[in-house]
Amino acid sequence: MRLVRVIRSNPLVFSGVAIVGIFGIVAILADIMMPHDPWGYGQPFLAPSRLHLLGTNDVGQDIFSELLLGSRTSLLIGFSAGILAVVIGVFIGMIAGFRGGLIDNLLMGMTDVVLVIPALPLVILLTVYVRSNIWLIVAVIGLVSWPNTARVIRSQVLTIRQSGYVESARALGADDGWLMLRHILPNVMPLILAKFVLVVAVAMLMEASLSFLGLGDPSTKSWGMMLRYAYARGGFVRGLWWWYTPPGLCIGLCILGLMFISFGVEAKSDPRLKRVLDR
Amino acid sequence: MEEHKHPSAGILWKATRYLVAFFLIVSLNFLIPRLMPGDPLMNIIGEEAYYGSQDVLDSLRADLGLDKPFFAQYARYLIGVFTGDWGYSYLYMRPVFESVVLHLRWTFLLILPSVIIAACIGAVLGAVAAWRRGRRLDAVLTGSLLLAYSMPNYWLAMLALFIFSFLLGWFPLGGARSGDAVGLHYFIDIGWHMALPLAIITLSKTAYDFIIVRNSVVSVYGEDYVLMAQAKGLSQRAVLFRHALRNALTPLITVTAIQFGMIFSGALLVEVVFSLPGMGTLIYRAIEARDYPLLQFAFFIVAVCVLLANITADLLCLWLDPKTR
Amino acid sequence: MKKTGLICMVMVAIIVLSIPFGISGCAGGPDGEAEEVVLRVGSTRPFSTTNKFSDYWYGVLSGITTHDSLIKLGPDMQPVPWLAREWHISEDSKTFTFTIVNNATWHDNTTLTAEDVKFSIEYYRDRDPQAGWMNDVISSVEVLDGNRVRLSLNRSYGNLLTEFMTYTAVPQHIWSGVENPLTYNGTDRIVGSGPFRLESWDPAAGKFVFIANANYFGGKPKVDRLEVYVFGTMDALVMALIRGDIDTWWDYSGEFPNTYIPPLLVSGKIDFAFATFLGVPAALGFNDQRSLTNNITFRRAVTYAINYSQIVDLVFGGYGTVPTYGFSPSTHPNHNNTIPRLACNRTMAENLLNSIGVIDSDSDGWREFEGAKVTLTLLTRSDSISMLRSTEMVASDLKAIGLDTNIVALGSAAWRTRKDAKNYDLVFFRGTPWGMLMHAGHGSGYFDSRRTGAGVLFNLNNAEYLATCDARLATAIPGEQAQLDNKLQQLHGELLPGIALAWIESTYPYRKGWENWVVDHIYGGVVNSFSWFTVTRGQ
Repeated sequence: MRLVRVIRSNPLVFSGVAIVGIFGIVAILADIMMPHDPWGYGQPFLAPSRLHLLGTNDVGQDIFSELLLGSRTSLLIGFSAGILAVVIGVFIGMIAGFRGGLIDNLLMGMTDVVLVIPALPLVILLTVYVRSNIWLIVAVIGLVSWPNTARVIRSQVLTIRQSGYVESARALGADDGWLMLRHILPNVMPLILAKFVLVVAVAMLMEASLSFLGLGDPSTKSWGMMLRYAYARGGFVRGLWWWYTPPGLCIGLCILGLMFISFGVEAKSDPRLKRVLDR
Repeated sequence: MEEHKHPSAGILWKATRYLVAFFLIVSLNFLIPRLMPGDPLMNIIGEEAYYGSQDVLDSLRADLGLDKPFFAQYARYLIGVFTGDWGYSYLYMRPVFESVVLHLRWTFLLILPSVIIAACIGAVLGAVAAWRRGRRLDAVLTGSLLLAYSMPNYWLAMLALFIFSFLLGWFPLGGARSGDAVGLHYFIDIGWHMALPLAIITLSKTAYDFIIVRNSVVSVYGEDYVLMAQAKGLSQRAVLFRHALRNALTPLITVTAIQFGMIFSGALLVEVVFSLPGMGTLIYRAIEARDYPLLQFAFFIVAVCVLLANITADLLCLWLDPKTR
Repeated sequence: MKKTGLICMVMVAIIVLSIPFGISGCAGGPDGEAEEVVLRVGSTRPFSTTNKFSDYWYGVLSGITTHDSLIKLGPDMQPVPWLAREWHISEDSKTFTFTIVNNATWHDNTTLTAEDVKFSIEYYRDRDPQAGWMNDVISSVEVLDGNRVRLSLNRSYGNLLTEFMTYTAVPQHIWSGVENPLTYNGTDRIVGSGPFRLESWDPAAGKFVFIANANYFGGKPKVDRLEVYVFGTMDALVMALIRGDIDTWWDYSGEFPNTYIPPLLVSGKIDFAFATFLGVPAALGFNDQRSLTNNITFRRAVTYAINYSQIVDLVFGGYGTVPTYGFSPSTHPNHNNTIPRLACNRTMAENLLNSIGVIDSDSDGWREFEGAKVTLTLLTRSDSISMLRSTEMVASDLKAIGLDTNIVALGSAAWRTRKDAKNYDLVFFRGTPWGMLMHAGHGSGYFDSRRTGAGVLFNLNNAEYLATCDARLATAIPGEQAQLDNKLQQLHGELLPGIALAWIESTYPYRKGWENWVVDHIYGGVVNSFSWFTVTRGQ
């Protein structure tokens, strides 16, 4: 219930949760809410009307329905990649921070390696290798987005370790796994949440970028693919704002919501451990 | 965080780690492109070519050094890394180094000014917002910059191109220069071409720097020495600029250094939208063409620069803020 | 404070120092001739060098500007004389004799001789990986009495003229010392004999400047200065066309995306030329190595499942027609008119599937074959938006008859690898104009199993088909050619190695005021070697 308190007490977090929550509900209920089949073909390039709220695209698919269904793909990619990255990051960060010594250096060395290879080119390279499929995109994004989390978690673990009570717990016979679960994880939870939310944002942006380059999954509706088609099929030049604005705005709004949450949660956590936000 | 260790031991460890990381990166750069499906030769001979007689292909393969065993290629690559022999780009058919340099200068021109301008604007706005924290100015600044940061920047770039270049006709529709301007006009021409992409990248970096500065300034407002300074009767402005902002400098410098490191990976999507021949485009095309030597070098230089940026940031922070020593 | 000041100074210094990075010595001189005709052409192709051997796209561009082939394909699809003013083919199609024009010169003012032509052919044969086929066919090249060149082939090869239209003469005095043309970086590598010489290529501006060759053997082109602008995206190119930054669009083997036509119409500043596209912009091929897709009945069922008019209307904006089973569009010589048009007939498709045991035995809505659910892997190219849209539609058509699909969209390099490994059920590909003409023509180069190549499927090893290809290749007699051409198209319809999903009408936009273009089918619409000598700019 602490979470609810945090959300209610902080207007930033509150609005962030509200924005993301609305998109989440839309994503879950997309099937019910869609007025048309977003894969059904019809009259192309229709302007917005009562029948088609946002008009139709180049092959006559209803843009509003695409937008609703797209929220599902985009959020799914974002959250799955976020979970994957955070799980890897927390795991590596915890082990490194807890064990120290050689293992720490090995793991942090690995982190450095992944951190210095530019993410987008690497993701492009890997998607070229694995082909367009949202789960592979998730895996790839997840696999390159964990180092920041690992670093932050590690330094948090180190701080908490030094605070003494972990030492005393250990002296009382608690084993490492128990210590991590019982004492360290709750302490770093806000940070994990903040990092998670950021990875989600990064993953959503990356999906949009990959789609723009033609590396998206053509058998799924996502905001990125919508933008790609709007761009490659003349939506911009023709000034069809109802086609190219909504997906971009949705991506932006969703990420804004996530940023609000990250921002608020991070401010709530120990201010002495202020961390650099990393994109 | 590793205060208990002897500082020199920490540095030694760090150096070893950076070294190992460096070696791993060098190897990965060799390995990853070669794991990709697709034959670099196919890109050279074009879409209509039929593969024809095998010996022509074989001799081409030999010319490019692709016929040698995997480890021989690796050894050659490693020696190349340390002797500066970067090999030959299949895509540009010239030494890799030259191809990279040609693209690098445009990325420099795009990223360098935007990183610096963003750091300055971000610092000032961030400090102001922190000073006015919780007031309307703070909310407006934070809200709008966060929004700018959240929008996919290629989408903003497309909108900017559509509105400012196409509808209003103020800027060119692509390229880094007209190619026929001379003298002073040459610089004006480049500025005119780079204005929009520069603005887009500056905007997103400004938002980023703003967030960092604002947060760190806010966080020190409660600290003892700031309270003390206020108690001593220093004006708000003096407190802000002399103490609070100075504290925010460390994270800002770290971030700026890392952003400098990214110069070499370029800003692919913005480059594509504005038809700019930068590093992003280079890497992207090298991937499409399976241009192994070019990819190796491009990824290598990016990695080295990010490493250097990280080290520089570490050292700068050490120098600026002796407390962390 | 001192440190802060220092940092600021360093930053300012970096900014100032970064400016000269943009400087390079490339700046063309100003030219202000009043009557100069300047044609500005836009392209979205990825040019990287000005070496016609290593850069495929510059090679294509140089073929209509700086370099000349012996013959060209005329707008009526017949060979027309170019660098060779006449030619003679022996009865058995094994000896080709070309007579070279007398007054051709290279851009460096040396004379273009028959020796140069002989050298060029041998040079392509021995050094150019793209011309590997010449090794198999050409046994000797000799110069007869000054301006005639004779090619002796080791077998009959009636299609040599067509194949030769893409190879341009290069100067012996420049290339004879060059061991590997792909890596040659000498500044004289741009020297050709064509109607234009390359003045400059500025990759940063994305701009080629070509200047008319006043000494051209065919007369000076009417365009004095040709500028080719390279854009990162079609969007920017279309904006530039409307805004007036460029006059027209050039591409080879790509269709102008029809979804961009409405804004051009609205602008009121653009006229259009039309020509039937010689290639096939979206085609579907079947894997011959998998039992289901190797079954002709199954293939036929698939052809009945597809809604072709929907593809023509939605993907190609209605600028096209539903193809026939013969694969090659009607503009190709000796088009076979008796072959039926493809048609969508779901009942027929379902009956055919039922007849070969591809049935929905467990009533889950999807068909099974031999106890396993059928999931067809559709291999397609992610870099072609119209191909992607076509794939999406075919997938939904197949789902409508109970065949599940799995779309695998790959970039061109990965697509090639997977295609060559035959790791697909159905593959989406495209036939380029020259590609349709290669081998025995009518797209046979894409299907003949004995061939391999970057864009081809090599999925048909039917003896009758291969024999027809060989017979067609061996003859240069028009009557025989026509008969064999008809047969090839008919066999495409019977054996179904692949089908065209749409034949399209290519649109070539250009700015109002330009007139007298020659519209050709193959070199790039209005931008071609013929137009240089006819195009005028009115007011």
